[in-house]
Amino acid sequence: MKRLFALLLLPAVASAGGQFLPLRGVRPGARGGAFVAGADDPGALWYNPAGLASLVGGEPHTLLIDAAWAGHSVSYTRIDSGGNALPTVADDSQPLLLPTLAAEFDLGDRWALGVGLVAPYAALDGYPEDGGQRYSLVSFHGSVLATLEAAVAFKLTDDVSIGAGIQNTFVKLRSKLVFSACPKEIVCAPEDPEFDAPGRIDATSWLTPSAVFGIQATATSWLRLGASVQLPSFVSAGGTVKVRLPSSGFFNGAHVEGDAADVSLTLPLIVRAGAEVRPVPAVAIEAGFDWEAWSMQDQVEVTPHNVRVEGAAGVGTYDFGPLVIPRRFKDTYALRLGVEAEAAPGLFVRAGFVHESGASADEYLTVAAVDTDKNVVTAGVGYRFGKVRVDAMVGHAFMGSRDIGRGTSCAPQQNPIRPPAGACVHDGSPDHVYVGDGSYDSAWTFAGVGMQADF
Amino acid sequence: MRRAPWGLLACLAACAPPAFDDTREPADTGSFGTIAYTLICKRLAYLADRADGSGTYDVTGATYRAFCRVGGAAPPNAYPEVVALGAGRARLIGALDTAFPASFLGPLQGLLTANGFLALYDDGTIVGASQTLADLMKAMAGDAEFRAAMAQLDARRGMRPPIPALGALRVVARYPDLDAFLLAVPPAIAPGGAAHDEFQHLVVAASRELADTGTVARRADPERTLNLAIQLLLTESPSFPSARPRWLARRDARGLPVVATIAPPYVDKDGDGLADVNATGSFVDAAGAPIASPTPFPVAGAADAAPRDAFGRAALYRYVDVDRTLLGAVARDAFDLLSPSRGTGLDLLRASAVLLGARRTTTRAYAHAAPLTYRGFDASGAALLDMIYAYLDLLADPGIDDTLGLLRALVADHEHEASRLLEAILATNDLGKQFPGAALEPGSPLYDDLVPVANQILAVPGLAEDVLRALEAPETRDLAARFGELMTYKDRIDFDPSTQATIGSFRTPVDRTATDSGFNRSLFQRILHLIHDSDGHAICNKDGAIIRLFGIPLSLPYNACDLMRIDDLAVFYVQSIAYAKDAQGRVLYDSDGRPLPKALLPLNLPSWMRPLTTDGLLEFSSGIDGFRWHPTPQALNRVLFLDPSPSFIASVLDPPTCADGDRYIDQHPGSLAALELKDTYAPIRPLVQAFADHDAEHLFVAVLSVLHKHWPSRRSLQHQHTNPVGYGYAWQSNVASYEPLIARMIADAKLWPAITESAATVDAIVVNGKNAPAVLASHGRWVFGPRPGLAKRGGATTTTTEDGRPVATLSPWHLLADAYKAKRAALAAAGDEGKLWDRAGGEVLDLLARGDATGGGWRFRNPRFRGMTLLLIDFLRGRVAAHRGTLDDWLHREMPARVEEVMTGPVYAGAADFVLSLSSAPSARAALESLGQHLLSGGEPTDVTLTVAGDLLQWFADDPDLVPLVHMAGKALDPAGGLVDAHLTFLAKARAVDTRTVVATVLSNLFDQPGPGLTADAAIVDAICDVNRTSPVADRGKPLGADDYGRVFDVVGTFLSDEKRGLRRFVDIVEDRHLP
Repeated sequence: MKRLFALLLLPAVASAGGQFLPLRGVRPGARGGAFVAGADDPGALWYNPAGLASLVGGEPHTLLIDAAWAGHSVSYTRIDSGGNALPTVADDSQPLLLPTLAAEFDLGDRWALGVGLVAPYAALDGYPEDGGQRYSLVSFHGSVLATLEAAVAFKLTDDVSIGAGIQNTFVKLRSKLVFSACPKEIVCAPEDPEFDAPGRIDATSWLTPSAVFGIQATATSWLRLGASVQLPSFVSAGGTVKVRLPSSGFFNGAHVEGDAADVSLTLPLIVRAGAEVRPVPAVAIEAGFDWEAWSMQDQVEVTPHNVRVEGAAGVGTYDFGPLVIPRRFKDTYALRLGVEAEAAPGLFVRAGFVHESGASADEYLTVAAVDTDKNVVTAGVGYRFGKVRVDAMVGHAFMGSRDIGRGTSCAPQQNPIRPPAGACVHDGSPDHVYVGDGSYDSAWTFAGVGMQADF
Repeated sequence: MRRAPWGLLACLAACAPPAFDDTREPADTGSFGTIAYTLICKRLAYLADRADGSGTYDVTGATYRAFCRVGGAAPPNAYPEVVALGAGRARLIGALDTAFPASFLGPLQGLLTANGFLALYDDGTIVGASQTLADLMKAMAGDAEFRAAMAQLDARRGMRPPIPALGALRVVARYPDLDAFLLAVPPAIAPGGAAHDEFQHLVVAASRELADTGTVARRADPERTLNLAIQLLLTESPSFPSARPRWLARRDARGLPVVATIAPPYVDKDGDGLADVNATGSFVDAAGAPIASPTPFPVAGAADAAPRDAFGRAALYRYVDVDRTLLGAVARDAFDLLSPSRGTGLDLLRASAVLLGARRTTTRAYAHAAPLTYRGFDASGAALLDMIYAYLDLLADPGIDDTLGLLRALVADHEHEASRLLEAILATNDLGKQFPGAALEPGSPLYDDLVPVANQILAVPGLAEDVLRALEAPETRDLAARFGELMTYKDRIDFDPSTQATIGSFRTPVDRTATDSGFNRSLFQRILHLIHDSDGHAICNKDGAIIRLFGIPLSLPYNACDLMRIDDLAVFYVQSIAYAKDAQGRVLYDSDGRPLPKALLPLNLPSWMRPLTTDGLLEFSSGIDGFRWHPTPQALNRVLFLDPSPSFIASVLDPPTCADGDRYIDQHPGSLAALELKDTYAPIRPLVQAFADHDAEHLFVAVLSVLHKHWPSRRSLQHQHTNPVGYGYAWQSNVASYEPLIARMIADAKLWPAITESAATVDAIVVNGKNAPAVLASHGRWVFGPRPGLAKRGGATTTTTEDGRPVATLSPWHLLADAYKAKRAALAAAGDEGKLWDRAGGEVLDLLARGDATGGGWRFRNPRFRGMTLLLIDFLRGRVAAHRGTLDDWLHREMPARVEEVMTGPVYAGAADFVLSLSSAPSARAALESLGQHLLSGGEPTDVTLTVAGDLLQWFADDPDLVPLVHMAGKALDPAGGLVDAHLTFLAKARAVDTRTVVATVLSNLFDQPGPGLTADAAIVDAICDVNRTSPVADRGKPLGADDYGRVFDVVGTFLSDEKRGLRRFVDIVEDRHLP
């Protein structure tokens, strides 16, 4: 069992905020994530823990296992700070299995308990180290984001259930990007690769608590309403930042000492609401609305501790200071529509559509968070064999191209040499190096299978 | 299932991230110079890209990466500045590697990254230094006149040989003790240093003076002070030996090399004596076309096909061997003056402040600069100015050319005598320092009393000349020895009444611890007393005197004075020493062949008796040998002092009394006979004879009387000094205190032998048809003679003697005397500070003017002194001649005013104060002096120092081109700009944390030569200029123009101050190196 757990959890994925797909789970995903009012299996841990109460009075235990694959394709043609279009780079995202492992227990007396380990649907992007995007991201390969949750649901009445879960999100962030150690233009052009300092941030947070609350209410025999609130998570991860000094002779004789660093970021508050209609008992149609407060993630901070360059020419010791990666995300909203119908006994068909607005403003759009408006189409099937149901899902997210014109981006080149970039300035000169201008094309394709067993 | 979380953790632990490859692959593996060049090139390319207006930028540096790293062909359409940099790639890399060799990089990095050095970023020191320099660069860039002047300067290259052409800074930078200098000097003069305030006063003064510099209307005017200085300092003299020629091209007032012979294609159409040039300073032919003229010396890096001699000189021009000039001579001697162990030069400057009087706050106005309020010298009380004024007045002597000519002839043609005399004087002066007790009573009017006598002597035609000639007499040489004995001993010398022989000898020295009274006075003092008491004192026969022979009366009793009256016994006595002469000046002899003393007994004998009264009869009758009609001094001695007096004498004379009414035998016994012991009359006779020949014996006596008046000390019981008409009056100046000194001086046998043995040679010198004695006497008359209308520097036309008596008409001597009186007072009031003047002055004299007896005679120890003296004399004669028509105005108004302006100005005051302040920083002072010595230590440093100094001196005459540069120098020094303080602060602090002499090594390396004729710093500067000039490619190799300089300065200034991509950015980086 432990091996199974390991196998399933190892690739659990996350990346920085704003890159999640607006859905997760094979069955919910096939419904386009419209699974707030209609949540009725362990998948409710993610969408609405009140849905766990659906088990009350049914089978005493339910186990849900699924896994999905999310493919993220990005092509980016950067316009550098000198106004030059650089060769297009394509995402080399790391193929991952995104699991759901959840169990639900009927505790009796109108109580139900759910536990699970879930991960958002995200991709671990990767790009060439010498590509034009390198100052934003080289790769997230090796990162992990997984949430362990325990939730209880209570059936207040036959028609109203509430649920609450506590969560701990495990964050293992591995971000490779290239810093520039060009001391402005004293001896170098601002994007001279000989002043590139490839770096890797490894940060792990074992404890990132949060909570989720939900409610479901059956208004009529054909209408059920639901809502949930996912509290934000404040990630503070300890780890390392490692840097390879630039190749320029300016750094001959220098070396880096120390590598301890902290990373902090915030995962947003999410409010979900949905209304499920059952025009006939075998058909459920849910419409939903999500509001995700990504604006809470204003920036990602990397705080080195006693990391320093020693032996720098004419300087000696130079401390690495905090790196601030501005995100300036916008709140997003998602409109969902999902359908699930028992087309034949034990055979379920599902479809869904989601429109979600992008979190990234033009000024802060980079390959580290290519989060534009999405239109996601999903479909899936399920078949129940006795107490076991097997599900499958496929989907594609159509994302709008984004052309960030020259002089738009305010995402700064990361340069550990102080002072840090200040206010965003566009004056036609390359004095301020921003790394987000250019054309972005991206899309997601995902699929998954799973099973649920009642016993 | 329950263990699932722990399984997760285990997994994550097992899935530790792969190792991060932090192995750096250096892109630059060459030398420091190569790496630095690469970085510079890339920066330059990027900045050019930024400025090209295309709107896009190669922010990766890809276009020029290979070109900058390995050289070769430039990219297509490369930026001119990058191309220009690339063209000088090898040279710049070589220069950088020379300045920063691999072995030095470790220590350099060690200093730069030392906490103490990094602190200079934090406290603003480095920003201060760079910003002030940037400000200056910007000012240079914005000053059109300065830029034009720089361009003109650049067009005047090749004036110095290759090594000196590298500049004087190189000599400083390569000073072996530069590190010690940096350790001592900057901390002392930087803000907070012991000498900072005074140094800043000096700097601000220099700044204002430089800023106020203006052009002169006629820069080539030979009478212009600067041109005179050039003439004086850069005229070669055969008197200056040179084993190492130090050639320098002569410049004219245009700053151009002087064409030696103006022959076609060179022309002089404007008749100014110089080859014609065009507006850019190129020589032109008759048609006005520029001539391709070689530079006087080859210029490093410039093509040169001109034929040159072994010294690299092109034959076209005039040159001067600076080593054979006064400048060279002074420089050599300045080496010793700068000795830290003696400190002569700076002490002299320091002590001069004592002589420049009190301080007062004053304001100097400038035509082209802001007024400066400073603590200057109050000229009204400046003894030094009085001294200078008085010496200048000596040049007003109409016969000064004769005097100077005499000095010149003496030094030029009679070095043996000149050096011997001067050495004797200096040795005597030194000797005096061993006798601190030798001092006149304060307020003594000794000289005031002597001067009238001197004037009387000088007023007698030919007397002074004859006195001088008397020194030639061989007998005179013994005079000093005799006088020495007389001044040493106090023995009583009497006559044996029976034999009339002298009794006694020189055995008992004067007891200097006792009062100079009675017989504890030297014989000399007693004889002076005697002579004084005889001066003007008449001696007569006694009343009732009867002439007897063998006891038989031959006459009736005479009334007093009827038989004999000697109006002035002293004069008579002197006459007895001298010989009588006929009208032709021949000595008269008696029948026995004995020279006749000039004294003639004024016996009023009956006419019948005169033929019978022969010399023999007189001697027989008196019983005194020599008591003849023309008595000898020995005879007179016995007449006065034989006791008992011979009967013949006693029958005629009562025991003689002196002016005080005392009998000689009572008041003056035992003294005069001393003159007979070693026949003092013989050596003194030539001098006495000179007076006698002019019937001026009374003047000789007057001199002795004056001496007597001042000889006794105030302790002497023999005299009183309060009642000039009372008994025993003397001023009592204590000249007697000099007796030991004089005796010692005589014993040393230097001065008097030098005088007497040189006298014949000196006297034989003829100048302008006049012999030396006449010349000296004439000048003496000028010096001592009252001159109606003569005024002191302050305008006063009267003065007082030392004892307060009014002097209605001044003589030059009075000017000197009053000046020296003021000097002595000032030095005395200054205590130890005042002693510096005498000590330092003495050392200067020792350095310059001492003489040595060598196998071939006497020579000046300093082989340059003779030449220096001759040049100065010639210069003075020339100046006097040039101002002959306006000499009075020039000497009494123009020159004093100029001197006063300089010496009371802020620069001189600042310099003096600065030197004084260095007493609080003795190591800084020593370091400054040592550096000065290094510059003049011979070999290459002196090559450079001399030729650079000589060249600058000439260059200063080129006002139109120079003034803008000088103005800029003034701006640079202006404390308001902070440049000096900022850089001194940096140097001081940097050196303080420099444990491996890095700062000094950097400076030294910068001036090392990566190749012939080029220093590393010059190569770096050239590269900066080549790259940043307006047309780097099209104008490559051409001299920089005004616009080029403007751009270069602007770019450098911008780099130093630019906070985005200049040095300030780097400073910011370092300042931010640590987190808060």
